[in-house]
Amino acid sequence: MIGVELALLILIAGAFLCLATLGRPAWARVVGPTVAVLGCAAGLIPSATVLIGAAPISLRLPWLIPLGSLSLEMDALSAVFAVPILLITALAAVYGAEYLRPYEGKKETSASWFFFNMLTASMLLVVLARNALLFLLAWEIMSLASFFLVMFEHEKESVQRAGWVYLIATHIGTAFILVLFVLLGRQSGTLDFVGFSLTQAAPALAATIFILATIGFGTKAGFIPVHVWLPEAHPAAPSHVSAVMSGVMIKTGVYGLVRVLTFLGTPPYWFGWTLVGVGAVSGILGVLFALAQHDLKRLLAYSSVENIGIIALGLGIGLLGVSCDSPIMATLGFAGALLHVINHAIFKSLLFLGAGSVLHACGTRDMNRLGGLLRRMRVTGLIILVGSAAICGLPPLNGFVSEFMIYFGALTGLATTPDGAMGGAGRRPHRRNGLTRTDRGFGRGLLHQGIRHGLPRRTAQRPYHPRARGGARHASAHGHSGSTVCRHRSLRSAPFASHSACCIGRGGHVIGCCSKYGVDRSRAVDARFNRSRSSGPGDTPRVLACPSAEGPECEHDRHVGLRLRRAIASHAVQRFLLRGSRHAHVQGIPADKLPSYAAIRTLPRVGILRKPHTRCASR
Amino acid sequence: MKTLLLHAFMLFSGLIAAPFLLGVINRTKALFAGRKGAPLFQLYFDMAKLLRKGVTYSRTTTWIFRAAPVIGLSAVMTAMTLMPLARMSAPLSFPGDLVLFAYCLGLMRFVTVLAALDTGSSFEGMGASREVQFSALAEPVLIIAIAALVCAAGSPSLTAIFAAMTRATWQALGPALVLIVAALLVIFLVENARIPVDDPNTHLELTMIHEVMVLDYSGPDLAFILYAASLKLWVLGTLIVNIAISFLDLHGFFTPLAFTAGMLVLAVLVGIIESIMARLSLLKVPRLLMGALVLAVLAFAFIARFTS
Repeated sequence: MIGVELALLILIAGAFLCLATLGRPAWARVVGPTVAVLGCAAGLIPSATVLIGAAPISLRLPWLIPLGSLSLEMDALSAVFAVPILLITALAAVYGAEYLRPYEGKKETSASWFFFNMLTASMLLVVLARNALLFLLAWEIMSLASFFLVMFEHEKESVQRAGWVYLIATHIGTAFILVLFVLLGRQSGTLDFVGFSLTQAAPALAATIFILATIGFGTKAGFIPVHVWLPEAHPAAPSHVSAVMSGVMIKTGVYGLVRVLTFLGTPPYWFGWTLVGVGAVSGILGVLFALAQHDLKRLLAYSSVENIGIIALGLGIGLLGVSCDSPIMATLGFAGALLHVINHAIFKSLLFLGAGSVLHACGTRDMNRLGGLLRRMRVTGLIILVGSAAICGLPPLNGFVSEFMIYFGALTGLATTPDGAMGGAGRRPHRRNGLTRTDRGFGRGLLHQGIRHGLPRRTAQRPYHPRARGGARHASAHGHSGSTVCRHRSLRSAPFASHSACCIGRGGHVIGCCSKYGVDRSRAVDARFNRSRSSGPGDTPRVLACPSAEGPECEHDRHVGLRLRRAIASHAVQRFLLRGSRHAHVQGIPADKLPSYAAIRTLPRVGILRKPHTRCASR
Repeated sequence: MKTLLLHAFMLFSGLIAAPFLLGVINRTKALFAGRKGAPLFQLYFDMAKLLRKGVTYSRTTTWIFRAAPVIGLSAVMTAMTLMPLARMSAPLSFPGDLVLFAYCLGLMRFVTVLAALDTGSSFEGMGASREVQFSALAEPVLIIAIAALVCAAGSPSLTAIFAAMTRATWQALGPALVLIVAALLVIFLVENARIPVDDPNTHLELTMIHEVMVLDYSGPDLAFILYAASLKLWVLGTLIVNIAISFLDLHGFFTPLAFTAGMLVLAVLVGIIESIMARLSLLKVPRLLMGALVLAVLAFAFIARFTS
């Protein structure tokens, strides 16, 4: 534990050291990142050892506050979240040192570094805390520190709005969490996590706590419909802060949810179905909203919503596996979800840092104005490309592995052995009282199993659950063959519906717009376009989505193509999913912004095959 | 050793025979139109010609444009190794391989779309946009259809699914399987850019999709793209024919025979569809896909209801 305490100490002390450099931005630039890197390195070693199988380390000290002690613990579940937190934050700090340099003198970067280090320390404390009060304290510090980080450019109106939306949303979430811990504390008579157990409690209380946790932690994590702050706050914050917030801070919401699930004993079916439903809705709507964005960072924020949806889906499948006594489903679901937490932390922070580099180089986040960057920013372009492919879940990158596990878990639930189908082994009704439990609870045992199997190592010493019978052991030893059937199978494939396809659109959107046009060239086209457009004011906008017989009317003009793409995307959304109002013209484009045919015709006409800007080099 | 040889034979038969299917489709269309038609092996000749030619690259493009044909071809070849032929085991088979199968096709689409955007042409960008839009509707159909098969056969592996499907399955779940085959046929046409959705014969119309995206390719790159497209036709066709021939419940030598016949029938069927139908307008394509989605979901619900 010494390393983790040391990390907390370094980070908090370092944060105040940053305050001491107020007014000396050059000092802050050195002190802030150094402290963050040192603290993270100190914490990373014990976290990683726990993650690869060392025994949990804990610390319990008496404190003045009644009902519990100041207890910290680093167990496998905490380590899964702590390792990305420390790793990503350290890297983001190094990035931030240079990123904030242009603001020096204009902004108080020392204060920014103070809050950055406080955010790191509080996130670490959130995953370590084993006392409800300590947890809430760390949670609140985390919310406030990230609020001040978001408000870095507070003179901008959009940033102010984003900051307030974030502050309000996160505190509404905290209110739910507060009630949740009050209920848990009243039931158990202590505020220490170790005493929380609802296995003997009334089902209604467990259900209440589950709902409170889903809403409260879901607000931080970004489940739809409580995701409202993400698309506001992420674009507003400096890029290294966005990377930390989107990559790891929202994962503390997932952590809280999983931690509370371990208190609840065997879940009834509807817990799992609720999370599957929330996950599917967040996944699908998140990606559809992402498709309609033209702000690079806003797109990434919606993509976070989508990925959190996938994580929730995995957790839901894991819970269903616990409910219907299928160890394979449970292991695959939880392991896939937790692995996706790590994966998403890696590639989302990568993409946000990449977006920051693009913003830094081009001065805009508007993807309609970006393009051709792969030729000028080769390294950044390559890295964003890899990150985009990974976030699409494409093989052979890491995103595919976790999504594969989650979907395979769902498919395993679908697959029926002939015996299972007829004998109804999996259709056994949920038995709350028939289960024996260790003090850690059934869910927690499986979670550990999920962690242990989900990560590439072979250190699972303890049997996955004390009541694992011969049949279950047999099942886990022989892959899918012993899987049982679950009830309500008909909705199990909802996860698939449209995720895999949509994510491909999403990745294409990110990279396509980055690699499409040279910035300087597009500006030239802009000027030309605007000139020609203003020359034909009397034309009414017309539908551009089906220019069936226009043949060579295809001008080499970026506006038409880009707008059409957006129009088609939003058209699909509105027509088939949202059932929104139907406009007379192309959906998604305000009438006054739609180029008319006449406007396009005034542009110099070129053949499709002979591109004006392209000289062909023969080889 | 015997299995290894069998797998090698399966793979190579697919790799060799795939372009032939396109020849059959085109010959069928020619017969309908009263023409003599191109030779059945025309695509082989085209590819041989293209492989001997030089390449022209636009200066706008980056390495993505050059890498895409190779990645796309390897992705679809990987998908081929996962797909069993004629109820034999696939060369590569593991529980959950169907997820990889769908994602391999996704990877192929991803690089094709990227390469189209990389050219910097609005025209190809429009093709890419349509490809993504339609595939966003088509992929759920594919995956729900496969999930329904998983449900029906009781195993999350393609090889095991087709091994488990017999005439008894058809007797129990016949209507659902027919719905699945119908949905997959629509997906087959959409994914391979065939006529109700896209016209493979022209690329100079604004409503084209696949041909538009590969407009800038030439020489060996174009040969790779044509070959990858024919392999995709083959592998998705295999999926449909495997389901269909399980109805016959054949054994031994007759299974590959029925499989070959099935693939030819499928090609002729596509030729007939292309001959008797006009291309749908762009805005009607999503309706077709939603229809296929409804079929797949119905089949899924049906199977889930009757097997649990």
